[in-house]
Amino acid sequence: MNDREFRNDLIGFIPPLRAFAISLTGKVDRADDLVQETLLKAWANRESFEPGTKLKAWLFTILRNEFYTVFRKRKREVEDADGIIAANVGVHPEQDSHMDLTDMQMALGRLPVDQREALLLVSASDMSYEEAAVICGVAVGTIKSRVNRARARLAELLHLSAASEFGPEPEVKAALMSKTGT
Amino acid sequence: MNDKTGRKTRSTGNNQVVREAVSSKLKAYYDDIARQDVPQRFLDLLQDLDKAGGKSE
Repeated sequence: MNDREFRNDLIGFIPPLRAFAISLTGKVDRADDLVQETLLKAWANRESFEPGTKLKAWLFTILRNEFYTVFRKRKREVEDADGIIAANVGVHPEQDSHMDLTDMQMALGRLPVDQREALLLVSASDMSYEEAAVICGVAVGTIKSRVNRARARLAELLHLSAASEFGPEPEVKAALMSKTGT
Repeated sequence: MNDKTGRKTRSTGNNQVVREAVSSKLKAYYDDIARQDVPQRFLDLLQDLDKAGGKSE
């Protein structure tokens, strides 16, 4: 793969990398710093990328490692931010527009980070359990249980879990209809 | 709202419904972000790197 091709491939993966980084950190500026660092590292190490292996998984691995490097340094700060996010859950979006966070972003912010990343990789980034396990450096079973716990917790946080006895709530219905209707 | 029924009940049919609702909400949120235009700073960055042929130090 020549440099031009590699560059074009990288550009193609910027949107999924940003979606992962924004969902992981809850902050666009921090996420974009992660994406930039990922692109720089990928470019610097492009000789070591083996064509035929999945570039997407390789890039996600770099971004994730970068996230944890920064995360450890900023752990205190991140915990403070999580506290702010947690304190605002239940507030109507229009009342906390200064936070610029959707319900989903706030709910994700309340998940333990290992569950959050597993869920984002498998349920949102279209990675297989096996790919997610390699990216996170854990067993496939660990990923599965993290994804399951993350989904259950997210359902609670988004108030979707009360649907079990009384039938689907409007949001659940809408989600299902949009899924089957297309 | 319903302290008893709101409890996590595993492996029921409705749990599947909830799981799918969570997944589809998450996917909608995620795809919204992924549909945003690529920020110019990244395009500029990659162009600079490509021009420099990687010898950008």
